[in-house]
Amino acid sequence: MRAGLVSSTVIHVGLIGFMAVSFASPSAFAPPAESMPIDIVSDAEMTKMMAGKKEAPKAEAPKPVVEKVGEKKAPENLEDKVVDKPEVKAANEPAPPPPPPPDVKPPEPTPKQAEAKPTPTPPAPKEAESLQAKPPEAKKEEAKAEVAAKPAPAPPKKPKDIPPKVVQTPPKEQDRKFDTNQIAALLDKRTPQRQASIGDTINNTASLGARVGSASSVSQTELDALRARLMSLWSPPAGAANPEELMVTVRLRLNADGTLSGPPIVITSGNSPFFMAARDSAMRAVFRGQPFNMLNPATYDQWKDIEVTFDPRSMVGG
Amino acid sequence: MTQIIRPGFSGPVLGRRALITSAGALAGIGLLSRPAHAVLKLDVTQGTVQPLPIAISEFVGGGGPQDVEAGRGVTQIITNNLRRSGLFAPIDPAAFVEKITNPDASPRFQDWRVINAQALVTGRMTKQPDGRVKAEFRLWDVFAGQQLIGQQYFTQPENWRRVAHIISDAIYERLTGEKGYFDTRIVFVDESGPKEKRIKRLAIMDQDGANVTYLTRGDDLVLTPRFSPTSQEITYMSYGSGEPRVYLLNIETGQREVVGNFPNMSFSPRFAPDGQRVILSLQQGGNSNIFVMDLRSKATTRLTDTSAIDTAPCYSPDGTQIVFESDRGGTSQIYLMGADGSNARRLSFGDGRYSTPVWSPRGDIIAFTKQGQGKFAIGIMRTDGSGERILTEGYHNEGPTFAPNGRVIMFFREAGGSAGPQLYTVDVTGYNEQRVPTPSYASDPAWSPLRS
Repeated sequence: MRAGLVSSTVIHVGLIGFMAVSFASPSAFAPPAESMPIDIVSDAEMTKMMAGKKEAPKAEAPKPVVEKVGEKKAPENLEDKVVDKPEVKAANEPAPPPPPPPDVKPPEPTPKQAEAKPTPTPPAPKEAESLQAKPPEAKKEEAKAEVAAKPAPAPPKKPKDIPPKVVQTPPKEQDRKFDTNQIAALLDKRTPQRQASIGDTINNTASLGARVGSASSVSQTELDALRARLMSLWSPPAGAANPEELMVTVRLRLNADGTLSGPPIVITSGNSPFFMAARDSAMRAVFRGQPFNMLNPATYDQWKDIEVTFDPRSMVGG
Repeated sequence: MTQIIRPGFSGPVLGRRALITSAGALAGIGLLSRPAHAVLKLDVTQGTVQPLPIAISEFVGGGGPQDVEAGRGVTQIITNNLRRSGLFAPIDPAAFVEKITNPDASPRFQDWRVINAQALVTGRMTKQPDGRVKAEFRLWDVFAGQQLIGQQYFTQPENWRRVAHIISDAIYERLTGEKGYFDTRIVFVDESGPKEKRIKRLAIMDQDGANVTYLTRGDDLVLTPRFSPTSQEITYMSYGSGEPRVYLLNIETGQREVVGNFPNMSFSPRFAPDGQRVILSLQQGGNSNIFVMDLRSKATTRLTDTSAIDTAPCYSPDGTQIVFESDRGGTSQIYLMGADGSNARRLSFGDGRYSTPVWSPRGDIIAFTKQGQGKFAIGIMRTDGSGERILTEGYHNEGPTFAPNGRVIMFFREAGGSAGPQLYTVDVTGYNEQRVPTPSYASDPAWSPLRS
């Protein structure tokens, strides 16, 4: 009796324990995760950086967040390039006499290293004066607000449409030399993708930002809708002997309203009749699919350029 | 400089692809990557196979009223051909907005877009001073707004039907990528008269049922005609005087000869791909074996030697293999062997009995008749015996034959009762079953290669 009770208890406990362990494992049928494209890229960081804060005061021109003071060489060169020639002259030489002579000659034909290249006369002395007057102002301001103050570089352009410039330095030193042998040094050597967080002064407060300066991205739903549209319109030539020939990649450039801004560009190439038929069927699907109005105009930057691969292999191969 | 990370690229995506594909639903996997210029990438792996809406404007008559008449006829034939293929949906001309008067000028594409035509055919028939007819056509892509092809042909006026078929083939090939099959003919056994006293005549016609010509008078029973792949000849079996024999018939001269001089019944002939040899079955006692005969040297080679019925041989398109039917395993099944008779092995393992194997001209599949559970079905399988698929099934379906592009199969069907057999076509996908118009009952069709 007692032995029976003990063994019964032991077996029950063992059985229940086993069941608790063996059936407690999570279901093997976890729903397949939606694959959401994620970028951990400076690109997105850039846009986030430019994103505005609602409570930020409205500035004349949106200023970028600057986290790090960058080297100044390249920006200076850039500025050199931008600045009008008369300014260089005005900076190098003592203030021109009020009625400037029509043609200023170089003081001396210096050897090779002409200190100041004989530049043509500034057509408008006033402009030169005003430009000259600017830098001191900027310096003053800088002195006042050490951190974030800058001379308003804003031209009368609409601030919202232009991506805010990353670095805008006032011309700092006026005693630079214009050397014809070093023109190359004046060229803008920046790579197209600049690290946006570099600037000349630290600026931690975000400005109101631009309309497109948010890091939102094309949603999976939009992509699915776009794909569904293309699938419903694409009628691939079925039953080809070797379906590899039927793969077509097409590059679309879209307008903000979802229409094609130009004929799609076929990236894959081939010259078999099967490929031509497949290419044409893909093109027809794209032409008929427009406007692709399922795409949100707010994320236009991300879908203005789409590469679509039409791949019928899984259909044909069955 | 930029690190691109694509989470879910390998695992979840593949799983999803498999799921969706098996569900047969819309599918497609989009992947995103944003390199420097942020190109959004999207994969579309499933489409919707649907007939292409095509507008075939009436061919303009370039000269007199007979040109207008010919243009109308050509338009009609092209429309009919493309519709019957199942891959095109010709648009009712009543819906056309623009009337094409000058086929050389670019059409107003927006007028054709509104009726959702994706392709447009324009053309003209002009009688030439030398009595011939010039047929020209252009195929336009309506949405891309460009011409896809434009060709012209000169022919005798009585050949206008053929020109229409050739134009149909050109359109078909340009839009599907595959060779067409419209400029072909069908040889078949025409059956007329009451059931108990059927007259069977060998007949030939265009693939659309026009231009029927009778090749025999119907005195003798004829069966299993087959086209030569290279010449205007057919081979068939006929009960001439006494023993059934295999004959060779030149369809242009009408010249007829017996193939070989065999003591017993010879049957189920078929040409080798080179057109120089005929492979056939010879009866030997209660069994039959497969032989091949060179048509020039008349040399005969035995390929099988079994105590079973080996019949219905058919070469692969490259001539290296032969598929045939045999009951050596007990019931009739499909076997494969080398062209010299070596290495015979069984291909069909499904329920039921398999017969009349035919190798696709494209080489990728074998069509057969399958008999089981009181039904006859036409099916296809891969050349290794896998992937069997039944295309159509019914009271009696038999005798598949491939169109030259390997996409369409023709066969004959009896519905049961007193009605006789009729010819049908079906896509190798199993869709688009169509009856082929014949003057009366018909059986044993054989598709010709493309005429040249």
